[in-house]
Amino acid sequence: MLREQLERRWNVLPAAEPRFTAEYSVDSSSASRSLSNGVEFFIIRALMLGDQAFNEPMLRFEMVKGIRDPNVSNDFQRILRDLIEIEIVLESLPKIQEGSIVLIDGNLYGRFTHLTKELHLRGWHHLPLVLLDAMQRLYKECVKRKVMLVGVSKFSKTRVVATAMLSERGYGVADPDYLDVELLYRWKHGEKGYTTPLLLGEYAIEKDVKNMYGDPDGYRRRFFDNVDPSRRDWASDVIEGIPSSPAIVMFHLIPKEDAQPMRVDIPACNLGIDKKIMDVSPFEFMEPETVTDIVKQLTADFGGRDVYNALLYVVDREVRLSVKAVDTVYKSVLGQELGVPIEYDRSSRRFAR
Amino acid sequence: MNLRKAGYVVGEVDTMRFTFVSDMDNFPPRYEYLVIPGVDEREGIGKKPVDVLAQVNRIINYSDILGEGLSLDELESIIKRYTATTKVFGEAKILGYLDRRGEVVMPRSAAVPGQEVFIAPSDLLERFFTKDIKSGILVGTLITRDEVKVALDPNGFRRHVAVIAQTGAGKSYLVGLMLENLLPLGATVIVLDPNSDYVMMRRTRDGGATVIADDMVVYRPPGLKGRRYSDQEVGGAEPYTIDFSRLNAGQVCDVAGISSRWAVIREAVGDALGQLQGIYGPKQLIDALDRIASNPATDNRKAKAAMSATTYIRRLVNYKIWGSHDIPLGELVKPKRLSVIDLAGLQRNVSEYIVQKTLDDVWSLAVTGSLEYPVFIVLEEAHNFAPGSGAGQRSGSSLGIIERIAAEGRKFGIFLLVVTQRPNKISSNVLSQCNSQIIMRLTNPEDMSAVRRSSEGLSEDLFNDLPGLNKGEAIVVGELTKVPTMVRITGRSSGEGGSDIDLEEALRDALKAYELAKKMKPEEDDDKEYKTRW
Repeated sequence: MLREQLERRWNVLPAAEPRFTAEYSVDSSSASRSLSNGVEFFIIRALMLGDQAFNEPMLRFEMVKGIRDPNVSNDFQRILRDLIEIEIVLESLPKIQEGSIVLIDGNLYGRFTHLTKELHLRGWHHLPLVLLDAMQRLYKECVKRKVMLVGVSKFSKTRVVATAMLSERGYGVADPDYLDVELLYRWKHGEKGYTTPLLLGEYAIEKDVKNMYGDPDGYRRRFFDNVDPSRRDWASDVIEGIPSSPAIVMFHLIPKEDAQPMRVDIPACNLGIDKKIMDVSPFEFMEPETVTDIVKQLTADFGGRDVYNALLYVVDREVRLSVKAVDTVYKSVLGQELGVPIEYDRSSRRFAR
Repeated sequence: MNLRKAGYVVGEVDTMRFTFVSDMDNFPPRYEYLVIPGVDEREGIGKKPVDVLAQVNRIINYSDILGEGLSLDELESIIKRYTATTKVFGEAKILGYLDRRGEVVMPRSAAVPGQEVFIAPSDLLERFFTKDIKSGILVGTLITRDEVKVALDPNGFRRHVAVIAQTGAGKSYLVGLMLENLLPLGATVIVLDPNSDYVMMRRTRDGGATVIADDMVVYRPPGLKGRRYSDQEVGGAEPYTIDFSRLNAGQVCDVAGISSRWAVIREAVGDALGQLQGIYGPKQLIDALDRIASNPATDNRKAKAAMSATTYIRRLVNYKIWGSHDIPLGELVKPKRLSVIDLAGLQRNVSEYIVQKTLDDVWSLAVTGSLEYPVFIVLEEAHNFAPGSGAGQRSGSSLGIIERIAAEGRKFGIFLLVVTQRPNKISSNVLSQCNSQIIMRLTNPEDMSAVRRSSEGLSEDLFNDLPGLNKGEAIVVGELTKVPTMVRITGRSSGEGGSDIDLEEALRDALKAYELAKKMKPEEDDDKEYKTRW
């Protein structure tokens, strides 16, 4: 049954062809080190590259004390990475030509819907809302400046297409056993094409949408209670804006025979679809032609097994923080800035993303 | 000082070398000179800032993106979309800094990562590489700087000098240039020239007279056919012959190629010479040997030896060298005199004899205190006259005196300028005595090893640079410069005998001659002289 559904929702690739005036890609990397005084310092670096010699870096240092749970440290880094990627695009938009496409490494819907709880880190509880706020601004700015924003994940563990296809056949399975990539591997391995785009709305935050929209203060009290009092009004505004953020168009693309699928996310507003999260419950299939230009572009960008997208491959390589850079350059720069030598704790592990 | 920045010192730095990061717009080329200003040099318990000079060893461009692990399709997809950033870094070796007296000193402290690196200014390089520009012997410019002249220290010639390079690298040009500059300083120079490489030094390239024309004499045996340059072309030549009747038995045997192991034959030659008096030549010696062989009183063994000796001596009859025009020794050792003894066209053993005789004569003058001025002896193709044990050839008659002069000559004012393209084949006793070396392009591993063994001043880095030198580029090590110096040899005004022929033109001439000959009726002409230009 799923196989039949996949055949129905599988589309032939149009010819590869660059469709946008200019193309940009964004990625980030980060590293953290535990210092001997109990402080953890974070280096977050983002880079935006363009096919017309555009090269815009952004760097952020943060020092946080009192982190005991490594998951909190990881969440903190992940959110800061997502945030710096959004910020670099926001900052660069005025320099970008109309009709351009900006590729962000990773999916857009996921990063949006996983931020609906506070971060358990003193002084940083509000951080997920900062990211949500930035994303909402970014979506608006992209529409205003006629810039196409696309999230591309080289690998995805989503089940949403499987869920949607089961739903089409009347099965209300919320969390099926199959990942989308498993279905594609089983029945589309060796082929090229793309899945019919899905418009994702309330899918991941179905239970919360009403509260967010109807009682943002109540939602804030429940899930962001530790936010600094001075930020509470702002936090409620951001929460209220989540359901009215643009829905996300999502599909899987196999750009060449034997290539691995990649997940593609596009804010619906970028495609001229005026649907918000709360307008789509929880998802709906769209016409395949909606994303033809994106498919053509991404197929043209495909290089091979490692180079799933030329520009994203480049920015991924360029933005990486090496262990050497962190432990020599950044460490000494930070020490100079702070006026004290930086000393790692004995257990500090050194690794680079 | 308006300096051009080349980059920054990075990574691990020691007192011998450092790595620097640069970019595509500012990177210095290989061999370029760099300066790190203000390196803190320890001085007792204090520190003093010094400007450390260095030379670029390697320049590396690399890309994190365009790696060799990518397939062609992947590379193309990136290259079409994006101009990948090329990162540039380099490695430089430290040459030292100038102390208050202007002497080159190696630093004892290392630069610090993050220090700026600049392209070294020309005035610093001139002070660094040239001891005394006024009396120096100009040989060219630094490889990377046309404006920085390099002058050799005349006192550097107090040690023997070796000029080493593979064929075609520009040895003769360099030696000619040094002679042009050495002569005006009053030098007495004798060139033993087996290939007529120096006979044109009286003429400029456009046919005029050089400034040394009046102080130069070319000696050559008369009557030799097929020379590269006629007497007229070289501006006249003094005849040089050997008076056969002044040769002793050993010399006659050496010239004739009678091995020193053939004692009975050599003895027969000695007996025959004992019968001759006055002026005589090889023919008279053959007659004397015949008389010995045919004399019934001669024992059978000696008669056979005399017969054998005639076979060898008969070869000497056709040599054009015999006569009575010996080179006057007093002329050779005159001050400010360049004497080129043209050995081209002579049989090998005759050349060896002339080399031996000339050096013996000069040596005799020197050890008896009769040599008034220092004499520089240029020994071209030195591996032929002073072969080493690995040369695979017999030890020539000239080897002994060359080794002796190499070992003791400088005490008596005789200085060798040994020129060779096969350092592996030259006597190590000679090469190791050449404390200054000018080494040009070398690629033969055996020759490179020989140079390495013989040269104290040639560092690992410089040694590795030898195959990378271009034609006309040289590394000077030893006492001729303050520090090992890479020079582009330039500035010679006199004509060259050793330059490469224009093969294309020569072949064109050959074809014309062939076609002309085909049209003409063939005729017998035994006396026809073939003129060649090389």
